[in-house]
Amino acid sequence: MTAGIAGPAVPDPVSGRVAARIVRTARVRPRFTALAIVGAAGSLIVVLVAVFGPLTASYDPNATNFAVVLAPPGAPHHLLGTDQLGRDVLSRMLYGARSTLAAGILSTLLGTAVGLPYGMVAGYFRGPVDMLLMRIADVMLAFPFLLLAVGLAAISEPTLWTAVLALGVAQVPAIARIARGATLEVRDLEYVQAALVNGEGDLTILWRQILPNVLRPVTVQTTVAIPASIVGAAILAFLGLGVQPPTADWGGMLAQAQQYLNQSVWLGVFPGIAIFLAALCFNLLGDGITDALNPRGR
Amino acid sequence: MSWVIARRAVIALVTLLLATVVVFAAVHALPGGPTTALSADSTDPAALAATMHVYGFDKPLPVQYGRWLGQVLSGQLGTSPITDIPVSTQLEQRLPITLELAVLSLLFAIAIGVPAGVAAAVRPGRVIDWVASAVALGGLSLPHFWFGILAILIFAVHLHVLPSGGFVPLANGLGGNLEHMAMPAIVLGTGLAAVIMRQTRAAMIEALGADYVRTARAKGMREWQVIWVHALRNSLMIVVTVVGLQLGGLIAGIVTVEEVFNIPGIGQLTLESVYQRDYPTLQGAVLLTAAGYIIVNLLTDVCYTLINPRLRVTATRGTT
Repeated sequence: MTAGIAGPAVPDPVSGRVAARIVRTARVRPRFTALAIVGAAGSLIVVLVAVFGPLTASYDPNATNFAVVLAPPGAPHHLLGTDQLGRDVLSRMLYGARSTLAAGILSTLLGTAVGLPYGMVAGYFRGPVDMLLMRIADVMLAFPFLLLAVGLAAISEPTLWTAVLALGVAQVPAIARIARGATLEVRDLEYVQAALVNGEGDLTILWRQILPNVLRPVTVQTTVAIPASIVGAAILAFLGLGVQPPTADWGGMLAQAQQYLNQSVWLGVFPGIAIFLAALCFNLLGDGITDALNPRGR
Repeated sequence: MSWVIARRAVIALVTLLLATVVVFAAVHALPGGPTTALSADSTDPAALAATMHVYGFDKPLPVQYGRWLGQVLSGQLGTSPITDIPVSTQLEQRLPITLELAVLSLLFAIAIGVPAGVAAAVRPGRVIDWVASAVALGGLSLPHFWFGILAILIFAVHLHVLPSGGFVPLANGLGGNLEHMAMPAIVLGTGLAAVIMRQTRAAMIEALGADYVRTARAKGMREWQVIWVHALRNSLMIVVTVVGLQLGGLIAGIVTVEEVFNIPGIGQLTLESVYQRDYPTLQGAVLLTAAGYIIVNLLTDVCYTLINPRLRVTATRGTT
């Protein structure tokens, strides 16, 4: 036993270490906040590019020009070069931001719009309603977004909207579980019971007393889900289960680039960097929001 | 406690049964079902009716479902109308490949994620934490398929150290098998390693501040023992949970990685059957994936109940 070594003469090592850790943690926080600001700024830029970028594009994203096929980056008039059909890569990237981001963000909104009331109703009414709704959610959980997208692709032609639907529906169970948990936490508290005694209806109580408490954890989940959905949307387009060519999309551009990597490596690099940076910025923003709203979450 | 596990198993079974209904209904009750696919190939109504009869597509849907479920339970998943190979044979051939990929990537993810998370948690705010957290954030944002393409470009096309894709069965030698699996497993494991690292770090920081760790230190226990034995044992539960939660993402990752590296696993089979509108195969593959998902989730729940004594009490109260 080494108990004797740290004798009474040594200043209490444990509390010293704990104190040091607290100081260190305190020092860590501001840096993460700075990172969150970087993430917020980056996310804003990505969104602005998606909204206004196409207006600044100098070429039609689908305009082919067989005189300049597979031009390298920095070629005259084509900053990021051209692809196998002579289409301007920069213009396609700017337009591609739109479909990739739209799928990522819209699907998260869809998942929240369905999952939030779903979970709140399950948690508020409990009993058989809860049991039924959560069993259905369990079944939905067994079909990750890729299987849903595969199923939708089998039923109809895949489009941006089937990708949004698959990514959105797949998020419903997670958001519903969180909303249900948050509802269960507050539904028996005095102020909710007081509203009940006051004669307020279930809908009013759900809206005015419960929703404010559910929004915080759901917001945390949403910010985590957006970057994952952006990558998910790119995956679906890459596999041909989302946006179809010739529509410009970062994932779709990578799928086509695969065959021409020997001639032009750059075709496979730029869209990937774009997806990576977009996801990174939203992840940083999500970390910052999680930190701010849910200090124990990280 | 055993009845908690039994209850979980029953719920999983019900979920599984409902999942079969969903799979069956999705493929059959909606436009673009097997009828359309078959009629596209045949213009002769009599021949079409005969084909429909052979595959039982002329019966009412509940009858078709009952028949199909009976076949599923006896291991018969039908025959692909396109390749004429029984679906179960195809699944049997391809499942081990996907499982190997999943297990290897999981091992890689744990081998990288857990030590990195512990190292970061022991010195929060220092260089090692900063570097590990940044790398993890990068890994989290990296799309598998792009990482896979880059890895092929670097290691196969330029450096010629690893094959660009394909699969060599274990029976043909461990070396060739691992050579082909190394890149896909690492590519697939990176995102998971990032998640595991972040969760381990968070759990370890909390554990290292807990009373029992202070007690262990006060007893004069060595620091490495405090970290690797006491604190980590509790934090490892996180790994179990994370693996369960990340399974949906892992399945998407497996499909994309199999596609990029041309690995003939379940993921590639699923995509092929969608492209070819091969419905029996698609049903089988999707059902196998969903069943695998439900079973692994059940196992995660059971593991979690077994490891964590606190959960045994809350689980009895029925919080799901």
